Amino acid sequence: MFYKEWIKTRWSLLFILVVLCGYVGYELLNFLRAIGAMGGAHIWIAMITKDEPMFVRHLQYLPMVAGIALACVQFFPEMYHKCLKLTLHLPCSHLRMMFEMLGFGLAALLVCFGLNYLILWLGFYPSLAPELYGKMLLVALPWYLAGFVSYLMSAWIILEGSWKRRIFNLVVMFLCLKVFYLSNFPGAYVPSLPWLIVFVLACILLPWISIDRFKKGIE
Amino acid sequence: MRKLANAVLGLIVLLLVIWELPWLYNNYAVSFFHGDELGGEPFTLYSAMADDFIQNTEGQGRRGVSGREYTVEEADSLLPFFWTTQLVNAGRLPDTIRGYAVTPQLIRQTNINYHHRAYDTHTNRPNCGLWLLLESMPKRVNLEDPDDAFRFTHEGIEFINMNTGQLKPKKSQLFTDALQVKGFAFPVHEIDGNPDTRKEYDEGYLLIDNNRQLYQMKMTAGRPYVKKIELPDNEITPKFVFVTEFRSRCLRGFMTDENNVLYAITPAYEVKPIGSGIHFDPEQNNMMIMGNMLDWTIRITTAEAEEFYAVSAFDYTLLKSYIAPYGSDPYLPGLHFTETIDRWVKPRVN
Repeated sequence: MFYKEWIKTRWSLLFILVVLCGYVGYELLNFLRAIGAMGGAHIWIAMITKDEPMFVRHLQYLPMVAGIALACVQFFPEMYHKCLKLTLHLPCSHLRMMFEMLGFGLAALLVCFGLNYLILWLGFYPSLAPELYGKMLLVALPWYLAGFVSYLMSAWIILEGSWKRRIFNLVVMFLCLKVFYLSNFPGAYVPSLPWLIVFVLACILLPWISIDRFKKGIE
Repeated sequence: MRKLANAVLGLIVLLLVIWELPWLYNNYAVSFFHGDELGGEPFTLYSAMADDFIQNTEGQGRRGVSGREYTVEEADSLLPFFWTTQLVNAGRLPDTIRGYAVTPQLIRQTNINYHHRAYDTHTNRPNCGLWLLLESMPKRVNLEDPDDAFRFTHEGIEFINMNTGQLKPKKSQLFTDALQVKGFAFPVHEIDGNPDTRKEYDEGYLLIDNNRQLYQMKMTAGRPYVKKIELPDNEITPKFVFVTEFRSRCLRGFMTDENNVLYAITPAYEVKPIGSGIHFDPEQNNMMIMGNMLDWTIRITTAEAEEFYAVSAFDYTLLKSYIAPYGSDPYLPGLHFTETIDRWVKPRVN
């Protein structure tokens, strides 16, 4: 199953990875250029006194878009070419197959997002105190969690057979993603991070509703 | 598994409904149905001459909370410290006010203006844990940005060179020793300062140590200056401190204690209760102080009422108070993730 998903998504995944890392690289170049032009002290003072997501703000919606894009690449062919019907006829547990498909997508996103975080950390830590790069990495964390939610909820929408229900799912997805973008204040989400992680894990179950309805032939 | 998945979806939809529906009602319907009841008290200032709080009611002249009506010209004359420019323009600014000689320059110099919003309180917002200490006696006239930042640890204070990211061991040791000599117990419990270089002078930081004792720390000519500020009573446990740095230098800062009593820290490092113990909770309430050389008007916005206090600028005794409770709350309770009093995003029901 993992190999099948890999064959299906490898070029798209590479594209997502290049775009994500490209944006992170662009932010780091901005950061290094600012340090070179104004000096480290100026940047530190701005980061200490201003409550803004400096040098990561262009990444805000990118993980969410990456999650939606990966879900489209992974599950549109399943529905369009009726592959899901074939997959569900295989003599394997349907639940296990679904979890393997979603697990592949989540693992792929985890690698992409983890690589992003690693590049950001490598770029920031030689010039900034841990308090300052921690502030930047913390502000981006809800955006990356939104990437996982957008992937799982997009899969839930795409695998749904009925258009009415798809629209309902879309509204639920929009409102759920709104929670991750309520504030850009660095560190504002710290008290709710455990809740958001539980929410991401709970969303893994949602595509099963669509698959169950698909099995019943609801369109 | 199907039941579990549907239960998760049901729970998500339920949470979204109790979040979004009250939000829609509170943001769009409340102003339509209860528009007249919304809005707080108008701009209000205490007039020592009238011994009354005078309100600036829009389009209806001026009104005292005692019920007395004033013309605009009367109100200007009764609030000469606020409407100074207007009075100067009309040639009506007196030479003395209640026996004190005044000039427009002196009034501008001695007027104070202080705002506290609940989300400014350190417990109501994330804090990165780094601060900037300005040189309070700079060689040039203007204050300058420092080249280092500091953090408090459990053992002392650490200064970090912002250009290299390296620790400054000598300066760190110097300040740690200066604090320890004065009996400061690490780590710091509460800290407040204003590292803005556009201000006129620098008072450094007001600190509450781990033993709940009050200190001031600043840097003068590159050396640490640490002052332990004695509390008037051993029963007082400081909770929050706020540096003021008013142009008139009439105050070093404000302090509140565990019982939310508001204190002034005077230039002579005395801690005096304001208005015989005005209650102000910095984590829940907003506060605005507009003062002059004779008296201050303190406006405290709580969840239940708008409270106005007039206190003497000399000894902070209460001159008059006025409490305007809110009417019935037209807002629907529901699930919220953000609040106006803090900067955290977290689920809460109210």
